[in-house]
Amino acid sequence: MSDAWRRFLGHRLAVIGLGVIAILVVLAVGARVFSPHDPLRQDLPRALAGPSADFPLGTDEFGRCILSRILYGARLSLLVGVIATGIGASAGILSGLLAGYFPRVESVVMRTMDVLLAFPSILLAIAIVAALGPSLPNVMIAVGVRSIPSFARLTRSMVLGIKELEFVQGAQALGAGHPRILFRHILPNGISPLLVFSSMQVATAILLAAILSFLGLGVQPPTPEWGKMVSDGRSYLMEAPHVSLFPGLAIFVAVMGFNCLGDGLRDALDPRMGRVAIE
Amino acid sequence: MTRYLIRRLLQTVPVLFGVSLLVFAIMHVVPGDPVRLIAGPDAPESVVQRVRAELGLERPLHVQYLSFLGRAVQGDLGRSLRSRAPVIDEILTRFPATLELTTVSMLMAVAVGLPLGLVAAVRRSTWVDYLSMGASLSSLSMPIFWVAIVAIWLFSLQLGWLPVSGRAGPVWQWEGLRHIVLPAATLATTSVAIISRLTRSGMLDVLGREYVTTARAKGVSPLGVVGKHALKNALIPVVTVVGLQYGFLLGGAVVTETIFAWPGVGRLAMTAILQRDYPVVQGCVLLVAVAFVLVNLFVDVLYGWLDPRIRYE
Repeated sequence: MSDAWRRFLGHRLAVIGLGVIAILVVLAVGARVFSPHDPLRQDLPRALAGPSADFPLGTDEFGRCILSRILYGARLSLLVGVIATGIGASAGILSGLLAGYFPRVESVVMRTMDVLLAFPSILLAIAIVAALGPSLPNVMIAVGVRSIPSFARLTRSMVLGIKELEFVQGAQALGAGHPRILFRHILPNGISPLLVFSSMQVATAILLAAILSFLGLGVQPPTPEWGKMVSDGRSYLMEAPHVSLFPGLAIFVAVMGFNCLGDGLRDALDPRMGRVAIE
Repeated sequence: MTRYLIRRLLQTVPVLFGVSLLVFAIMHVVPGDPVRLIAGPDAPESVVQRVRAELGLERPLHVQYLSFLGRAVQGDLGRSLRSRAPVIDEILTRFPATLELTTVSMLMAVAVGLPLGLVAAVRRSTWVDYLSMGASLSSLSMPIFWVAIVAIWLFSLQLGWLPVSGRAGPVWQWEGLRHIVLPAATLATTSVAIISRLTRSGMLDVLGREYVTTARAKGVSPLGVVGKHALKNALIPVVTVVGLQYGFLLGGAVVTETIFAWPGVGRLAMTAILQRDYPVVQGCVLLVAVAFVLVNLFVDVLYGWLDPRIRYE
């Protein structure tokens, strides 16, 4: 483990990624302390003002402080990213474990995953949110569901590689039950690629959630949300491009942080694994 | 080979079946009555009843699904609840725009991503490598709608070089070309990043192999080693991703088409979902799934050509 840790620290990008995420988490948790203004307070006479000492990132079309809204928005984006990935990971890893371990359920599970994969992820997410109604939990579900097949495939191939190894057969010979073998022996030994993939999935989840909000299918106003802020600024692109620019930068920084972390984790935990491409 | 193709095609049937079932299910749990949409919110109950009967919506769900499936197999996807036009026509009139956007965008992505990845691999651990990989990681991290907006702001509003949105005829005409540049480039950003990263890792893998060392030892020029010996083998994973991306994008790039008001399938699907025009949604999703499955098949066949070691049993 210490070897992996040293490799991780040697990966400059990964350390930067971890640092960026740590700073974002601190800012999000302490949004109340760090925000110069109330993110919801309107100040119409000062609408669409550029960056100034009072409003470091300027104001939006209602005169609300963009910096404060970005800080509060960080809470939502991080939360959605992590919870959506959690939903996708738990469902996907469970189905992958079952599919890899029990040959009889394999084809049913994997064909279901094929069906999910044949959907373009954005259309699937839009359809789910449109069906369930636009709200924060529904966005998390929609974003989480689309990562289930990738988690399932990754887990299944991991199980197939591990289950024939001697220590698993040893556990079976000692009379360990299936759940014990799956969760105590197989899963811990194949967790590294799943961790790497999860980190990258958080990045993708933040992006996808921002897209849903951008399309008006996410959190409803006036709650500050990054994707929605970019979308609202579109109408004022000519006179006040900063309204769209800064929230977009915030998304970029957060996603970049998780992507860098994922790259670093991959190099540290499993130098041979390639990046799994999605979308 | 033929047997392999037939088997693969047969394997796609259950997937397509599942896709149709899933999309049917999603669109039928949608709150909001499509009949009210057609008849109008103030229509008397008698009219509502008649429209419902006309659409066959009073039948049990499984009957509706089977009849949808039966007609879909014959190419009849029903009619749009909004425009009343046949869904297949709605899709086919928009498909050329999507095909054009996707093709131009993938050509751009390959033209930029492939050389970028190659150079990064050949000049490994130099500033060229760091710069191109940094750029590709950045573009993977940018929200595509934001890229679109920044591009519109810069190239349309500030510099005035390119139009803000819309499509103006086919790409081989000047105006058509001017209109496609921004949406296609925006759409290409993610693909460029993925292609360059895969090309780089594929090349690094291949460049370490013995046959490359042998070629070098024989005195083959560096360009020859890369071009003749390494590239073809390094390209195999790249081909997969290009194929998959192409398949996905054929279903319409929802976000890009929406922002640039590009009259393609993605925008059609997006509007249809929001308007609960479920025959159109079903049609679009089925089209996407078919495209995706076919492209996958094509990629597998291409493998065999690129890598003769792969045998189709």
